[in-house]
Formats: sequence, structure tokens, C-alpha cells
Amino acid sequence: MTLVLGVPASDGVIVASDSQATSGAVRHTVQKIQRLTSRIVWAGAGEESLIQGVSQELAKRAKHDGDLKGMTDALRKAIEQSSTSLLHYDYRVPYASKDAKSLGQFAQAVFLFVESDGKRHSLLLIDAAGRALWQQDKGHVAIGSGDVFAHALLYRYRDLRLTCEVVAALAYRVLDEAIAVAAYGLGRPIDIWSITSVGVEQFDEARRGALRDSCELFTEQEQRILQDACAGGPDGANR
Amino acid sequence: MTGGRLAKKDWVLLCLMRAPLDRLRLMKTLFLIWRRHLRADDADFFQFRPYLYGPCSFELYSVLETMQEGGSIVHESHPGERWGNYILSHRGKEEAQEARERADANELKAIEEIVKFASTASIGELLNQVYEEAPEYAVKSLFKRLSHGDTGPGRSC
Repeated sequence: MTLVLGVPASDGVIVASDSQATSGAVRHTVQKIQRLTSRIVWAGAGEESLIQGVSQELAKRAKHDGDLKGMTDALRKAIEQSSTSLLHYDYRVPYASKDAKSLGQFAQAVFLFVESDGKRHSLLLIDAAGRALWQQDKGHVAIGSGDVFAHALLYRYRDLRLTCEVVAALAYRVLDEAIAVAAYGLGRPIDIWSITSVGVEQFDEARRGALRDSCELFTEQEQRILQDACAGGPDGANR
Repeated sequence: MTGGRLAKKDWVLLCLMRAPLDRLRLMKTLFLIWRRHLRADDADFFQFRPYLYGPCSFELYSVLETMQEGGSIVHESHPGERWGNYILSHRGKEEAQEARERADANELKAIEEIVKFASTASIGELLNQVYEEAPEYAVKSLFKRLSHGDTGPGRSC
């Protein structure tokens, strides 16, 4: 299970993910968000071997600082090539029927690419077959099998215009709560990146600690409001 | 007071010597010490900036981690609690005693007075006090209107 978020803000985009990868019964920690250029990060959710293949392909191809629109075909090609390669070496493939749906089962993944210059943002999804889907004007984007948590938890903030600092706290909270309740497969540490006018930045341990404390206080205040309401408010009118 | 004889770690040790504190209370305690008693441009002290919960020094997180790894402090964590208190280890107590000898009477008095308030006030009272004294550090805060009757020190904070 994976959860990767891309959440636009008024001054950039926040990209956040959990860090757990699962291989059979074993789990380990991986960094799921990667820097592609000084303005673009990407992450994949799905078959780990395919994501690794794409990572290697992108490392070979993306040596310039182009914009996401201009790089789209190259990214699609890299993903398509990695998927083809994975299928080529998978011994099960010849035994499967040759229809696209059956082949798709052997290379399942989706990739999120996020670009921002601080004012304009681009969020692009590309699936394992190389099909691209731009996410403009859709608010946040979530990929991975934990995506439903993110959609539910971020829905209430969809119309707000918030800064990266606040969005980072929301993204942290969504990941934190999803990790807390997901039956399996999502794990810490929570990885947070911002893309603003100054470029791509990964939050260090201290900044993640500050986000954690902000979220705790946020949750505590929320609970207090509800408790106060149950008690008739601070004046105790209904106590 | 200049705080020149004390390193950042020493201020943390001296605060925790007075009382165990969670990260938020420690952050606000250090801020109030700086705000009330130290020079505004004291480069040897933690640097604060307005953040989502008022004044914040990201550096404190790194210092606490280093102190934990070095065995000076222990982070108490109990199920159901949001923030555990930091307490001094045996080594931390010895280091705090050494720091105490280097501190001057005014510094110790300031720590005593502020830790006493921060460790017994509710989170709401503490934040309200900080925001009242330094409103320019509350501009980004998500918690401007905490009521005085909220979470007490013995609760989840």
C-alpha cells in the first residue's frame, strides 16, 4: 500500500508520501518522492520493480531542466519502456492471454509528476501503459491504494486557498491519520516536499517535527471544540 | 543578561532541571526566556520565527534529537498521550549541574519563573500568554483563540 499526495497551494505545491514498501511479508523503508529537476518531483505507486525501472530510466533521460509539458513525451516513453521491459522478463507473461487487460496485471503502477514555479502548478499522472492525464483544476491528487483516505480527509479543504506552510501541515495530518488507521502497508516516516518559487525542497527532520506538533495541537483544538459543544460551551450553559 | 556562557543545550538542560516539559512547553519556555531576558540579537540562542503554533525554532528539534542520542535526555512516551515530557537522564542531571554553575543568578531566576508558569499552565494559557507578549509571532498561528479553560498540564499535552 502506498499513499502519495500532491496538494496545490497559493505559493507552490506540497508533495507528501508514506515511506513503506512491502515485499511479500517483509516491509522496508523507501523514499518514494524523487527530484526530477529543480522544479519537478515525481513519485510512483504500484509494482516496486516497475517504479525502480522507471527511476533508472528517468535518471538516464532527464538531465536537463525542461518544463513538465515539454518533457511529457519523454516521461511517457520512459514509463512505457520500463513496463515493456518488465513484461519481457516476466516468465508468466507467455502463459497469459495476449489481451491488454491481462498484460496490465503484470505491470501495475501510476506515476505522479508535479511542477511549480510558485505561481503556476502542473500535476500530471501517467499510468504504466504510458497514458498521461493532466490534473489541472482538480485540487489535490492522491495515488496509491491509500488514496481514498486522502480524498476523504482533504475534501473539506478543497475550496480554500492556503499557503504551502499550512498545506504541509494538512498533508502531514492526512498521512499521519492514514498511517494510523490503514489496516496494513502504510508506514513512517512521512516524507514532505515543497515546490515553490525557490525550487524543490525536502523537509528535514526538524521541520517534520514542527509539522507533527502543529497537527497535534490542531487535533487537540478540534477535540476541545467538540467537547465544549457537548458540555454546553465554555459558559457551561447546558452542564 | 547575555546568555553568552551558556550553549543552547545548556538552556534546555536548565529548563528540564526545573521541571519535565513536553516539546511545545519547552519551545514556549525558551521563547519567553529569550523575549523577556536576552538580547534580541543573541546569536548564541535559539532563533525563533512565526509558525503555525506561534514562535518556533526548528533548531530546537535538532538539539533535542542530538541530546537524546547523546543520552542527556529521555523522551517519555505513553500510549494515549500526544506529547511526552522530556526528562533529564543521570548524565543530563550532571550536565545540568555544570551548566547551573556557569549561569548567573538572573538567568536562573528567569528560568525558574518561566518554567514554573509553563509547566503548570494549560496549553491554552501558555499560548495566550506568548501571543499576548509577542503578537508578531502569532501571525501565522492556527491557534489564536484558545480558551483559558482548555487542556491542563496533566492531560494529553
